[in-house]
Amino acid sequence: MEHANLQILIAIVVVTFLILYCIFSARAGRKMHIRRIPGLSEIDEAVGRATEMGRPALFHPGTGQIQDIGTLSALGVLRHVAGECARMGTRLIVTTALPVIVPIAEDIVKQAYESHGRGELFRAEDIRFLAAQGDQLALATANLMEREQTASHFFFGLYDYTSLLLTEPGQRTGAMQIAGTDQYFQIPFFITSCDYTVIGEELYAASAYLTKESTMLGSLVGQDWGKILIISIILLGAIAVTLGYGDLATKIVGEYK
Amino acid sequence: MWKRRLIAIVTFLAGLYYFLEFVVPPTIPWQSVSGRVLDVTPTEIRLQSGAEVRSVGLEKKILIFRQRVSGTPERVEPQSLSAGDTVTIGPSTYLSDGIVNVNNFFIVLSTMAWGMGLISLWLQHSTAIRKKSPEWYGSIIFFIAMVAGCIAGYGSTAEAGWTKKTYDVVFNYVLRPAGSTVFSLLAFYMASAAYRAFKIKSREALLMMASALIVLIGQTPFGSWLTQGLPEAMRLPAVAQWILYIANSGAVRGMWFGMMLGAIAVGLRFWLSLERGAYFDME
Repeated sequence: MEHANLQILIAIVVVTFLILYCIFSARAGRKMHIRRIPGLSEIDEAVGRATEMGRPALFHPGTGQIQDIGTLSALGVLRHVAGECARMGTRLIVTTALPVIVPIAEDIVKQAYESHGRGELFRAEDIRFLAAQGDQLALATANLMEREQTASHFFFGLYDYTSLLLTEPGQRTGAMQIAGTDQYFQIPFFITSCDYTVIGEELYAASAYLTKESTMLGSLVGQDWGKILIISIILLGAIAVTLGYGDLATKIVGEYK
Repeated sequence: MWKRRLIAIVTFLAGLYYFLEFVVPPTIPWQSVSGRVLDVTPTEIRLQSGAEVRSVGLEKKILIFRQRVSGTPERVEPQSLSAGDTVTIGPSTYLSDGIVNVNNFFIVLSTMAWGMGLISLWLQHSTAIRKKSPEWYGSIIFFIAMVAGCIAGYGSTAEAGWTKKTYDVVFNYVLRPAGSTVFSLLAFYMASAAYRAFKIKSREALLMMASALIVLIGQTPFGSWLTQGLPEAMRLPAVAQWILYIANSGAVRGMWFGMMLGAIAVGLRFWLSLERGAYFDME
């Protein structure tokens, strides 16, 4: 296992302090503002489109493991999508490659439908574990898109080479597609085949953005302060190296190996 | 309520263990010795530590970490050491000792999750058959495939016999070719996605198209030939390399910083049960 050195320990403590400080400030009533993320703002529009067309919406929480942060964030988005589907009386189909996601997704979707007083619209058989292998899952999901004529597709979470196998069939059926992943190599595929793409950390911010809860917003603002801190350190390091104090900078922040 | 509290406590304790395991050094710093290995015997290791030569006895709770060319030091056993290795040797802080067991515990938990998935599938398909839902006959195929899969799994280690044949049919003659077929679809999907991406609809798309063309042509001999009259730094291969390794790397590193900080923030929210929304209470 990897272990932290002193510099990493200091960085973790400082960033943790900033995030917790912002969370508790937000809870105490301080107003927090975050920028608009188009991909997430368009979720309601996509559900509305499915409703208008009288067709179901499809949600896919990626191919990552349940403990992956991307998958957990995707489940946060699922809650919002399910809530919107329930509000508009639209059917939502969830497909997954992970058996453990099935009961969790079932619980999330059921709760969302019940909380909007539309419990009768929830169908347990719409939460489907289709296959454990990525390519087989993609094939089965593509088949489902054709058969059910799903009008809106949501792909959030971790994705592998199957990203294009999932989104291109959606393009062919003319569905509105919104995707979000933290997997760098899959982002271009999503950008080319989806209407909106949520990139990298925006996926982690999804729950906060959609719930608008002060705790969540606070953590986002804290994270931004962490970014400002890291950018400042990078700038200081660059200036130090330019002025000939490279050795000193290396001594302070540690050598990268 | 008690269930939620229990989950919060277990999550906090598990997170605390992983956090401490990561930040606490694996060996007690003030009792550890660093240096270059001179020789290793079954009972001790002789080290060149600064100007002096030191001997470290191989007791039961001694851990050895060897420096690598890149990355953090790796834990090694005495027998894999050779003269010249740079190592840190010291008594264990015990936190890292249990990491294998903790990881195994999670593997057991995820195996149980597979059982949950199977039960969920079983219920879903048996209900479909019982209620004669649309396409209920597909559910019968599920049960047949499940039985075939179990037999095939049993036959994976067999040398011969009908279980081995079932394994060959299910995995080698059906699943593997089907997987390759699906994978080959990617080539066509990439072509159609690239066609859409190269349609210039906005300034960003123009920029993307221009950089893609430069990188594409820059990687070919045609690119070198086309710009051979220009100064070295302005030739297409050099510009393509600059886009790939300077401009692209900068953007990727920026993304990585954001993602790592985002991961810390989400991790903290889960660890301290501050998360809200799905599977958690709203405020």
